[in-house]
Amino acid sequence: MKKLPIYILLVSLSGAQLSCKKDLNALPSNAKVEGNVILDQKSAQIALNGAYYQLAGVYIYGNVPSTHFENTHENAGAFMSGYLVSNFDDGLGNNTATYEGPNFVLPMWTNCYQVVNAANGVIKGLAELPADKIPDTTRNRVLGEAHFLRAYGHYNLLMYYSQFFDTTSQYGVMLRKEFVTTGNIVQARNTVKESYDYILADIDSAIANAPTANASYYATTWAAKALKARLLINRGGAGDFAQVISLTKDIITNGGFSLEANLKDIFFQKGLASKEVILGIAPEPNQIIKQDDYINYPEWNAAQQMADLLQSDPRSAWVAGMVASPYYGDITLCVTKYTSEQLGEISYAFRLTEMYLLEAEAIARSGGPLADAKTLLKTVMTNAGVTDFSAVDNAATADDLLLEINKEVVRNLYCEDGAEWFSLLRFTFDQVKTMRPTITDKIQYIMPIPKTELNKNGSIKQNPGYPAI
Amino acid sequence: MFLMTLCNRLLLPAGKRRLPLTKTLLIMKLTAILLFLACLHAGARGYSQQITLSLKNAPLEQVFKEIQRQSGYNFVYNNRIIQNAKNIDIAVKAATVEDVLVLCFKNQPLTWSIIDNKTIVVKPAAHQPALEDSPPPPMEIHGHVTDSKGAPLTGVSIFNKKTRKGTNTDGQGNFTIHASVDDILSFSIVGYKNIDHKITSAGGSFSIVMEIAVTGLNEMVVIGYGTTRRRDLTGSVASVSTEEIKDVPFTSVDQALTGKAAGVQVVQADGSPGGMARIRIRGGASLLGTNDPLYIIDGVPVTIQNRYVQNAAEIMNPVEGFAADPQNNSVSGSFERGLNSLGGLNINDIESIDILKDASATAIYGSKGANGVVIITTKKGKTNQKPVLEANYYAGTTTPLKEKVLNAAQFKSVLTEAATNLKAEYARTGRNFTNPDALKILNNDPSVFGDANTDWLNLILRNGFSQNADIAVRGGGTGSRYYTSLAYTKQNGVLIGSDFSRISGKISLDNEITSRLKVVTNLDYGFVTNNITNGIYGQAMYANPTLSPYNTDGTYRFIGTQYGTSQNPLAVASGINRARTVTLLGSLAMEYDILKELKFRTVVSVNYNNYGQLNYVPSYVQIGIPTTYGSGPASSNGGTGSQSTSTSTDAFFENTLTWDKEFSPNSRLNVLAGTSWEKYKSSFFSAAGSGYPDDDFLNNLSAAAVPVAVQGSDPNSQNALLSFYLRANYTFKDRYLFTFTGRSDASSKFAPTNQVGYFPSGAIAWRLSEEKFLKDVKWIDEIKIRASAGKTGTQNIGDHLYRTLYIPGAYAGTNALVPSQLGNDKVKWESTLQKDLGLDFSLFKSRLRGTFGLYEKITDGALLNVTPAPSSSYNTVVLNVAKIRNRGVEFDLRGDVVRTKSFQWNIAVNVSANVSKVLNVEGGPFSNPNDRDALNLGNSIVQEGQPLGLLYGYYAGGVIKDQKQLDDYKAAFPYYIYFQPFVNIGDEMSVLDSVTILKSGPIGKSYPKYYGGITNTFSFKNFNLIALLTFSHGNQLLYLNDVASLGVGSLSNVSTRILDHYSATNTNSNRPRLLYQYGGAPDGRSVFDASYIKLKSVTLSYDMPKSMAEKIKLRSASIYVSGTNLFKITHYPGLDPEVSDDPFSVIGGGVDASTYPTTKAFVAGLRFGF
Repeated sequence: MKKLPIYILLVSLSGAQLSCKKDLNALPSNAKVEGNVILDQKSAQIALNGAYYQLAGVYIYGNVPSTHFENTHENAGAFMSGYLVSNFDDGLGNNTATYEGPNFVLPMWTNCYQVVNAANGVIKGLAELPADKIPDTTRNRVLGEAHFLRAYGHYNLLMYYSQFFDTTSQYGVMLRKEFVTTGNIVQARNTVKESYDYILADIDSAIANAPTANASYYATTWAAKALKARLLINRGGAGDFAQVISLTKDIITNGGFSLEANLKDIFFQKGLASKEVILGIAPEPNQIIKQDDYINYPEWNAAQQMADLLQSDPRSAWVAGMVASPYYGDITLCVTKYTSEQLGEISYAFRLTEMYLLEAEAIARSGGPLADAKTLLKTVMTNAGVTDFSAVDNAATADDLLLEINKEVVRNLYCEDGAEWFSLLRFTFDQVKTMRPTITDKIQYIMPIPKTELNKNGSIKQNPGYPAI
Repeated sequence: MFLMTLCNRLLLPAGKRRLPLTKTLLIMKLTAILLFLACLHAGARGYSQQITLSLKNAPLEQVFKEIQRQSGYNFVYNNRIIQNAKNIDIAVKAATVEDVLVLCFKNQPLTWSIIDNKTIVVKPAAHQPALEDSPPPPMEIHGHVTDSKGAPLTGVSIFNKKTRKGTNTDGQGNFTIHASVDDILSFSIVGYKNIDHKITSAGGSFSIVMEIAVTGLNEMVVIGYGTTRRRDLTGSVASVSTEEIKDVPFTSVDQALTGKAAGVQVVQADGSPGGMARIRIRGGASLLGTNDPLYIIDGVPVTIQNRYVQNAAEIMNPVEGFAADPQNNSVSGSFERGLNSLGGLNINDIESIDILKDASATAIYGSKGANGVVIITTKKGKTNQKPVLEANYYAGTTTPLKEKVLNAAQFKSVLTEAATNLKAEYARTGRNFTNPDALKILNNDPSVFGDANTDWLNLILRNGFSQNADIAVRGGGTGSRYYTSLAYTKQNGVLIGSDFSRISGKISLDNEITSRLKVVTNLDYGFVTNNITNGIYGQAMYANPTLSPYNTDGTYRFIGTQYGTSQNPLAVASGINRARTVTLLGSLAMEYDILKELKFRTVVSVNYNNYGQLNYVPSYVQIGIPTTYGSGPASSNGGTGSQSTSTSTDAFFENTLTWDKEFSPNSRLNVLAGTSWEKYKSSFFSAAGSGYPDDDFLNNLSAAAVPVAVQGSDPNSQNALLSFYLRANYTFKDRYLFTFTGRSDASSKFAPTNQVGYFPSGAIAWRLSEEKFLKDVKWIDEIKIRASAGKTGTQNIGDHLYRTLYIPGAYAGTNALVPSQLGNDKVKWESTLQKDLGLDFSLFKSRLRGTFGLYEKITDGALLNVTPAPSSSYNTVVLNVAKIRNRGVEFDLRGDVVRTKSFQWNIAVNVSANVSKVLNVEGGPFSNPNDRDALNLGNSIVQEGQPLGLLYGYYAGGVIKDQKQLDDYKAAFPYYIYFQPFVNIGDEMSVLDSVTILKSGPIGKSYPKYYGGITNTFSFKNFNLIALLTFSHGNQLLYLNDVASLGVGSLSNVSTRILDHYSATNTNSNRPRLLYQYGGAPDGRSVFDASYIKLKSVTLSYDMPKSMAEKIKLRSASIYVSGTNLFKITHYPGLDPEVSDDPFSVIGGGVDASTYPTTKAFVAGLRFGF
């Protein structure tokens, strides 16, 4: 009896010690820790889905997880090309050269790297996964999609923040080839050439490995080819246009996609089920962010230039128009193509129409037969309900036709993934200045590296013409 | 006769002097010789040797006188011993002196002897104890003396008033004394109230419980894992007397600490019933974690947390719509302020409150001690006491203070003036007047100007009724004691729909299994239901007064869809916002005395908390949603409701060994060693739905048509802490005191390499007054100088901050894992180095007592969520970067101004000043520690080199008074065309940073220069009056209601402060002219001095005299009346300068957001014991 308490003490202390070690290093129960994320085929697929989740830019909006593609892909190109106006513009003009920080500069930058990092996480996890845990076919397929996503992220960084138009430039992408740790955050930029090469290598891996058929909100070998076509037409180097033509032809004929007979049906009836969607972004349930941004609290309004362009076009009824905000009560010119309630808030990254237009442009730019280009253009326009082709028919020169292609790009791919903007920038600098008078310097072709990045990453260099810090 | 008296003096010169037996005899011998010599001189008269006497019932003295007269013998005796002798009957004839004496002393407790045939010496009989010259007490009484907590008291002096005999208690509090029935024993020891105890029955033993006198050096102070006497203390510990707070209608203990202790700042967040108080002990320094002290309630650690579960049923707050703070916080903010983590504890159960402030006192709590520790001990039973039932009931009312807003006529005139001015400006600048709202105003549109005159505030305010009833039964037998209580409290808030109700109580049972083994069980429980306001006060302040509340069909009128305007407060009030909290603090302890000096104690305890939350926004009320750039109202989609529940279990297993060794009277050592293992687990579940068939009845989640969101996790959070600690106290010669404390903590919150933190501290104290040169100074009771230094930490931060985490999400309806947190395995403990210097004194027989303290706290490596480069793809990474210093002085003075038997007046004053300085935050200023690089998000700012608690906003430029100022301003600010296109005389003059940016920065400070409290206690006979004044000087508040009334930004109502605006007839005003759509922004002008002196509480009680109480069969009875917040002296223009919008933050909280009006409360109560 006398010694009993001492025994109790000893037993309890040693017992406590045993359970301590376990509990002190216990893994979290509501999150996974890096290193135990990809353990098999299933978890590899889940981690890959996490990279798509990042591509969709999911975050909590109004207590509901919501995709955020409009802020990271849809607005920037339309805004910079002058077809979209921001209500949060400070009134000093939307010229990116004098105005650091249209409100997408930082979100786009961050989102691109989120996609890249999530893809890197998958690639790293797969590399560490033993062969017997996953069949080679699955491994390659997942790897292909991850490479596509990494390439897509780097592509946007190249196009919006780097001197993509000058392959000799030092101002390329800060490529993230490894999963981020506290030790490798600070990095310098790669050259433009290195950027193109690295992205192309990823795309080629994706073309080789990604599945040929997949749900329309997942990447396929065709999406990779479409991305390659986009990349090459913007590089515009020797042989690039020919490659664009062959890539787009391949997609159009072999991809199993088909143009939607009535363009409006994509946005109002079929959504991701449309045979025309090469890669779309699936919305989260109940999200209302696009509704709010475009209509309810119009953060973005269609520009008058857009309304003018759509004049006498059947799309004026559903792409942009006057709508009253239910909360402000003001009637403003809104982007209306995403107002379908039945479909949810789908976004479209790659559509077959773009391939037709890219092919037409590549033909026109490479001196190919204008008639072929016109046919492609008219096919697309016909599906959009256009019946008056006089402008296309009247385009006598390649330059004239390119202008018509550009107009159709704006009308058709408005607020989708920046096609309006890059289509504009592919004109000569003099043409660009005429078409978009606020642009006076090539500096304005690209956006600045966000200020916070410069503050936190001492090794990165600001784009020429923008304040360093 | 002279000689006899002389001898008496010699024998007992001071009357009371008690001398040891042998000494007395010696003196008697000496006196005998002296007497003998004296008698020789008195000498040679001839006396008869034959004595003849006949006396009846004669006192001995009379007999002696007769014998002396007849025989010539002198008698030597002490009057006192003779008085105790019996009277005698005597009849002798011619007897010898010896024979007569034999007769006289027969049956007397006396004996006699004749010296040299001349002197008869009378003395007590030899077999009697010769110590006292009194008859022997017939019995031996045994007893035991403890303090009110049941701890034995050593050195209590016990004095039998009858026998004048005394003794002291031994080390176990036991004593033995002789006494007879009806004798009165007086118990006394410094620091405790004297007790007179009447012996009522023969034999047996009894227990005495001594109550601590209001102040004193010997009061027991609870320190971590033990108690000590105040005079032995080396650390800085403040104790709050429960006597002073028991009759004040405070619902939770944190409110009761207001103004009671130096260095402890308490600010009531708002007037919510049972709401949260913001407590900072010697300033705060944790940017990410909480800064509330650690509460130890009956040995169980309790941390303050915000339990609100974020949900979809949120409403926009129109008040904060005028500031930069997040606006969708009507509901979450109200929960934050209205839910009190300590709400489940009944104040009447509290026995003692001790606040540990310096590192020496808190280091035993190591990583939890940096914000100070409040030890709350609840009542226990008493051994050997018949059951005692104590009951207390009070009831009272609370009345709200009310803001002044425009009535319908004023509202119309203000809006019309603003719209007219706007129209004029459109015309002046050659623009087409299109502003739709202004047109409506000028056209007297019925949607803007109704024909009602609604006093919205009156509709939602009411006088609250509160009542409280509690009963407690306590008692004990020889081996066990118990205490059990049950209390019910109900408080209706002054806003309709808000209330607080609580059922709480405790069960405590102590059992002595053997003389060495003791088992103690304790359970404190509380069930609290809060109906929390969803911000209707703010809605009512800004609701359009010209609109009537109801439509003709009786439904709520919809009064505004405009961005940021208020909704119908009555409609909003019809929603549901309820929180139910169950708290259980339970412990089972076993104490075993291994040796006399070595005690072992093992405790298993648990802190269990279950929280349920119900929210419902009716279909006719808009919810608030965060939009990309701020907040906005949105339809509640037919009603939006959510139900959430969270559970947390914090389990502790602690083992301690205490060694109490007295090597010699000059050298004492007390060593405590222990280990503790803590495991915390929490889970939560929350579901929200929208689309309800009915807003009043079928608004349960199951009735929702559309599920909105479901979240949940079990466990959601878990962490563990393994600690070892040691404390040694050494006292040398009662005047040199040394304490060493060390604790090591290993926490699961840190990477294995940084898991363990060490928290050492040391303290010395010197009791100057015990030194020879001061010992004889009569007016000094005690002077003690203390110094301590040590390290403590905080770990009230998230789990797994060091790991790179993937969290689950869903894309396209399938699972996704997304990298969410960049791990930093270098993250380590936040540690605070604290140095403390103190002086304790007690003078003039404890009439004047006080403590003076000086401290410095430097928190190094305070955690901050730093934003890494955005290209890292992570939002934040936690780094130990911040360094913050707090320095301060404290002064606590208590004095007995009047100390007579029937009237006592005691004053206790404490004053404290704390100055903080941000030494390093790794870069520029910021507002939100969770988003390090976002500036300009709130009304507060953290800036290097500046104190914490700065208010942030635009600089106030004043009003443009003349054409020259206007021209200069336009020239300096070319972008006025965008910002102020109509700028003119009477308009706001912005202060510019550059040509494009308005200047913003620190515009005020929310921390006081000094603060404190004054408690006056008056006792007159059975009346007792306690008045508490609290004060704070130099603190400022950003008064949002004032910001709102700077201009007419929308169709909302505003405060009457707007009436004093600039106009042609009021050119002195510093408030801009009215221009519709141009409202105010938080700037320096709306920062006001919020210094105050407040009569926080006053209580008058009357204790019924014991005799009267006994007549009505009560053991005790008292009645009392009490009031809180009765008056204040302040220049602050708002309702109450003592508010805080964010009680958790150390950065913010300095905003008066008019969330819940402050109340005055009056109660009357009865307290009686059976």
